[in-house]
Amino acid sequence: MMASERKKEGPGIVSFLLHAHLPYGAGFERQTALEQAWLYEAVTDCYLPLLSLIGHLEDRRAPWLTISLSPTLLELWGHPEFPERYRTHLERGLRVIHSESNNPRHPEERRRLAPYLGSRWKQARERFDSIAGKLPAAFGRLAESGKIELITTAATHPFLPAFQNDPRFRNFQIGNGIETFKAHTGISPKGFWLPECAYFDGLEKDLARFGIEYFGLETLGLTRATPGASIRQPLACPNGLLALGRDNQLSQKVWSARSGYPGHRSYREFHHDGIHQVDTETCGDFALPDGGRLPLGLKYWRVSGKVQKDWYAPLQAKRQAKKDAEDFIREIGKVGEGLVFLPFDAELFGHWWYEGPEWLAKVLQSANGLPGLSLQSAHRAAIAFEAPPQGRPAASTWGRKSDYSFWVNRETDWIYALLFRCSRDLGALVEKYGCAGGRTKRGRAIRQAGRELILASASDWPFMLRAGATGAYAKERIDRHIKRFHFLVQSIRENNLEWEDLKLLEQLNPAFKEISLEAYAKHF
Amino acid sequence: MSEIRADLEKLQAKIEKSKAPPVDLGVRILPVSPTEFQARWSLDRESLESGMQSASHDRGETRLVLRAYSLPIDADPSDFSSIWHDYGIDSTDNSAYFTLPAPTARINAAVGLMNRSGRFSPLVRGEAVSLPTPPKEVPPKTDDGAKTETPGSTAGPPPAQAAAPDRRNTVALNEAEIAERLERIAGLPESFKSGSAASGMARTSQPSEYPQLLDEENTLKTVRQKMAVEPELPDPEPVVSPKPGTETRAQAESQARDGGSSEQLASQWEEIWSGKAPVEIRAEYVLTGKIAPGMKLLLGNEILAATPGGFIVWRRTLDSFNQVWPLLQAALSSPSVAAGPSLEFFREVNPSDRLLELHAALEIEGKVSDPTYHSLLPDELHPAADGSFKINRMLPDGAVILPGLSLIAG
Repeated sequence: MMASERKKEGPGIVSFLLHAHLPYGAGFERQTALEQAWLYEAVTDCYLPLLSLIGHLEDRRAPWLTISLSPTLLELWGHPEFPERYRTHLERGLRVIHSESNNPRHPEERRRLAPYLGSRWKQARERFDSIAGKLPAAFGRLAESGKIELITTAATHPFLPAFQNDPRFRNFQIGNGIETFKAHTGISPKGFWLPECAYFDGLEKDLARFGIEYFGLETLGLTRATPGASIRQPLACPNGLLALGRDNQLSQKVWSARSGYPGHRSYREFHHDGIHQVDTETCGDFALPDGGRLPLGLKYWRVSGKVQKDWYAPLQAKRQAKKDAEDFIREIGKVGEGLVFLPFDAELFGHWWYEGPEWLAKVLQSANGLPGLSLQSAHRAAIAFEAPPQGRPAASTWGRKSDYSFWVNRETDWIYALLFRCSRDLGALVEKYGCAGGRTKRGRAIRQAGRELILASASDWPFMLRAGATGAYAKERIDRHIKRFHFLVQSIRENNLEWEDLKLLEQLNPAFKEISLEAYAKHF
Repeated sequence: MSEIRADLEKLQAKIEKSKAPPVDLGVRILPVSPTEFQARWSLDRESLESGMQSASHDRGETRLVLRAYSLPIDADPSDFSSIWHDYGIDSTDNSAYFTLPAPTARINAAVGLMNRSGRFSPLVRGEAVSLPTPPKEVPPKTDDGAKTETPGSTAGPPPAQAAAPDRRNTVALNEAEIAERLERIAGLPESFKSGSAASGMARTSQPSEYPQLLDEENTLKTVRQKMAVEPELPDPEPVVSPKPGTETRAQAESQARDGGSSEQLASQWEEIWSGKAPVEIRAEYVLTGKIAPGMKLLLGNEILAATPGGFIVWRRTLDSFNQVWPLLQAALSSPSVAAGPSLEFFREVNPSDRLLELHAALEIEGKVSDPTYHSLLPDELHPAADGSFKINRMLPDGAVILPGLSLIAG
């Protein structure tokens, strides 16, 4: 039977899923920090523009798309110091941008582009103020209004296939992720974003414990399932959870570094930041003691394809985004029938690909009007098929060759040896002292140990180590959390932990305040 | 802010003083790709001793083996199977990457002792993991080096097998032979030769109770003597061969097949490295290990940075045939994909108390863009459908101790 015959509606369903994630670590104990710069850049260029984009979409009977908000991102947005720090960042940044227009040492083109950049920053400030600095609530409202579906992922986005033999750790991560998401948005998610799209046989059993109904996979997860399946319809796992398979061919038109749309010469160049050409005095807090600069986003150039970049031309870029959107719609139209599931990193839109939100808005609006095509959230797409085929998805990721090698390799394998040990020690503490509820010193210390363990286990750290550019930072973060974990465990065992030390550790990473260790009290 | 900073400094001092527990004993498997997994194992001295006694092994002939079991997709974590591959190892505390001859859905592993007759007695057992699925269906190989055993026969495989173990999987390392062979190879960097004045190779000083044990005193002496010598490994640069040459396959084959088996292999690899073959290739020498807290490992003036937990990974790209060939030859001739003898200071103590342990490996990745050139690869390499190939081999101890390597406190 053809896919279309099984569907409850329309011959074609297109479903976009944007996964928004940053590792936890704002460095708010310092005035300025690299982590803050990463966060602020993504808020200005991606998260706020996405909010605007979605807010401007007309009301319709069903959500336009699905957005996954990682618990760590929600915790960063929910940090008590975040709103004021971000506003201060915008004010300081705007001062630098303003000075650009009047700086006679800059070329005329740069001076002329600075006000354009400034206007975008002012829009971000207005948008941020309009939601009272509360990003989680703003996305929550969009979900409540029916414009989007919101889902989430594991607490700190760990690479789950590396923990196949540690079900307590997996459930600890998944459970705390979902509870944190609920606390921020008030929503019980129906879908779950597998960190790095990484799946191993049986993982859906963990998800089912938390009421999850569907998850996404790389193409190969379905095409090499047992028995082989098509990505044009969901695959029902043995326990009934539905797996959606990414349309890799269409995704590559957006995602590919070589041939994807974002590489067009008209688009804004991501890697060049003019802050490095600004004198130290003007830079103010963006100047680092070693003479370097924190990223600010003074991006005046376009891709152009050569070392000496051409000046950015906003209108030209906008025209190109429209053209690329039309091309993508044509490609979608060629698919004809069945499901087209398109998950992306949210940060691609606006942050990495500045014109991405423009492109996305155009694609969503055009796809909505295409005859025979239905634009759906991932959940509605998953349940739109009356009798999806059954099978066991294939173990895969959305990394190179769809295998695990980007996260498990010589640069990273030691991380898992340390984490296994920590997880075992945490289990031993819970077995001895219980689930560590209440406000006793020991209870709080065990929960803090749990926090340090999940903060050490983000998939971002092995990713950074493998990618190379920020490996030293990743190593330092793992070292920091693992050492704090061992310190806490040893202090609990020897009963010599001081209140002041515990409070300071809690204060340094005020994330996952309601962390639960129940998973470590269970037998899976 | 300054108050928090002061408190943080005090707290940090306490944190630094707290002792990190040793990494777990046993064997743990991490899945990598459809045909590759990583295993980290750690045996305590007592387990090894009791294993030797209970299994009544011939002490001089017994060796450590990691046995990898191929399992069906629905196997339980504690399952073992009748299809297995043996990888000779000889360190009680190490990690390595193992390549399977064919993709498998799940894998489990046990580390144990194998005696002269091939009888395997597991000492520690792992838990099964799923491996990623290959992008395309891979037809089963007729001879993939796998062995089968009947259920329940783990401690004693069939006599026919035991009598004739698969050389590719289970050849015991003969250090003397390797050293002798390296001596004869032209173009080998002096640092990889034994016996010469510039040698960086550790020598086993006398027959030991256990095979391949290094003599700690002599090893330390060797390392100290060589501290002044600069390492001869080159700067990292990927090697990509130019476009295919004008030679016909027949010409290439006729050259490759000249001479004996060793020369044939050398000819094949020289061909690849010379750029005459349509083969992209990249080779790396990798030093891995663990170092105790408070110790530093130096290579010349370079500190080999340890990760949290004291793990060491140091890579250097090899960019010529002359550098790759002797290492490859040694690796292919020694236990296939096996952990070779390692450098372990205070080997007699439990793994957590050792000051240093080091292991060396050779990693080669490449792609043959013209299938007619597959025959240039050694038999041990099975290129994938797209022509890509990969080989990970642990190296014998001569390659572990580089000139300029030193261990210092503080």
